[in-house]
Amino acid sequence: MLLLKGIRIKQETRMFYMFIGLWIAMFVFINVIPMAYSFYFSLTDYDGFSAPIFVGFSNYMNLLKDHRFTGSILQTIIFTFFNIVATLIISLFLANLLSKKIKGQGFFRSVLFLPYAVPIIATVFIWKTLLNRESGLVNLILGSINSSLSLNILVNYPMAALITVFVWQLGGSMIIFLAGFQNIPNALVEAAEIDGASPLAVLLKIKIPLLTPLIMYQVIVGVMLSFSVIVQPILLTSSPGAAFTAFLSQQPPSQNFFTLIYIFQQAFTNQNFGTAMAASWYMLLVMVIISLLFLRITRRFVFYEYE
Amino acid sequence: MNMNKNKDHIASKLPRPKSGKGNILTYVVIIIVVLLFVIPILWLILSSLKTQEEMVTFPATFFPLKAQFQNYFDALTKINYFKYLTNTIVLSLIYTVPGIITTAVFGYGFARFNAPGKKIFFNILMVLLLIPPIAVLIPEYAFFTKLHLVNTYYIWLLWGIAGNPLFIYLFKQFFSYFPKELEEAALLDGCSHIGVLFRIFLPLSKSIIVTVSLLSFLTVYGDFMGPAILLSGDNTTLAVAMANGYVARNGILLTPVLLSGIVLYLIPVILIFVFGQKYYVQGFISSSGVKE
Repeated sequence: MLLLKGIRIKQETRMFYMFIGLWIAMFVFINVIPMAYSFYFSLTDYDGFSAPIFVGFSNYMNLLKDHRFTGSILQTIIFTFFNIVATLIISLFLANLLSKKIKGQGFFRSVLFLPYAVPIIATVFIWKTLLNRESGLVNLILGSINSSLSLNILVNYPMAALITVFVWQLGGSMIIFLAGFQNIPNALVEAAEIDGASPLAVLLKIKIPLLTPLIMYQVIVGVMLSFSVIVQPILLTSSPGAAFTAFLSQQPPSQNFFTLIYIFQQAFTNQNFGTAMAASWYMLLVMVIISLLFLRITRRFVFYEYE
Repeated sequence: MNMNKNKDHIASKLPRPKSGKGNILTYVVIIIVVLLFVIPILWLILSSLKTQEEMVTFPATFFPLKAQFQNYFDALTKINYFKYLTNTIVLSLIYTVPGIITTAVFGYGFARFNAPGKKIFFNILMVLLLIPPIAVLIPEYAFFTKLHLVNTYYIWLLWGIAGNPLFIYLFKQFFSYFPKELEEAALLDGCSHIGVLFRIFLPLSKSIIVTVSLLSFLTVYGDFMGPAILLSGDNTTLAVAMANGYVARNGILLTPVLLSGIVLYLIPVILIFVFGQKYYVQGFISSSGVKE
């Protein structure tokens, strides 16, 4: 019997690796090898063509002295913070609204969720057209209030414009919070209402605490998504056209100059793969530190008991 | 605090206290928000019908002076629209179709077997979920250049086969709700695990297959940086071709034509969204771990 059991376990192990073996192989092929490559290049002066020459950690050292790089890290962190805060608050607010028993709930939910599915390139031009100074709707409305009112949002408030775009696409997190709200036992909410709690108190003291695991999830995903932003800040303020390298070399306003833009410009505009790779590792490090710090700070507040 | 599911059920059947005033306010706020969310798309459509001059005139007019349907014709002819649309769809399918099969297999592996090392690999999968794919794009570009894969669709085939970590996770979650008895009977009858997956599990998994297909298709359809960096010339996708192609001889961007191209580009997305929304939403909700 014992022997039989031993064979069974071994067979299960074999089956497991037969099923995910291809995944492991592909993981090595498209993740591990490129990452190893990337680390190796970060220690060289590779330009994409000629043979790389080993330069030790000098790329890493030089980056710390490069104000454009350190500035881009700072801007990315500022953007990540405001983007996550704005998206979280507004999607929680909307999810709470939609979770009430109202007519047409399904329709409202669809409409608010729809922008999430809109591809990047469409999103950028939609907002460029809305916010631009001459033909934008925002200035049309401002002008109809008072003809001297006009804002050049894309140029003067570029980060606010960018965050607006992401708030418009908050459908994904709104849907998740909505499911969270709908999962809260009615009995809990009703007990509080009978005790005379105001709707705001119910929201802040009962519903939000129950959603903390989801909020944590959204923040961690939000850090990742905010650090991946590159197309929107470039295209919102610059004109497309010509080749891709020309697109990349256009400078967004300094407020929206993020690390990923720095990395891609180093790699494709300046042909400094070494520097680009070193900068990517710094970026990854910053992301990990932010996420871990966040998890550490909030650990006490997260409510895991509710199933 | 262990909430009793039954009690909860009974509670939801009791009449809820209603406050009429609060309800009206809720509607007003929702309608305002809905308008704010819809106006950008309306403005896109209106602007796509304006002339080039109207786009730079200040102050703008709300409606086009005369609807320029010509813009849509120009959008289709100024670049080889159908060629790039075909490219985009082909690329999306190359990524999606093999991906569904492999992610189902990987998901089954993670859901059904226990083995030493499983925990490590599952943690790797979770970490992959949190690494922005775009951060790996440049190293991948360098590596694929060495392999002469740049400017071919094989890259998307490889990505598809490798399986998006989110889709593997979705399949794993879905399969782990199936009772063990389901496969035990079949295994006793001599069916293999692959047989169980393809003959029993997958036919019962239509909803998750649709979810993963939609998410997968839209991921590639909407991508910009991937094709911008890895494809060039006639091989590229609609997103890249549109951003580069709608330029007049003097280098001026033909904004209304570009906007018309974008409206056409959005039609499949909106159709998928309208008809597949249920599945789309389900994918999101299960990815966050909320129970349905």
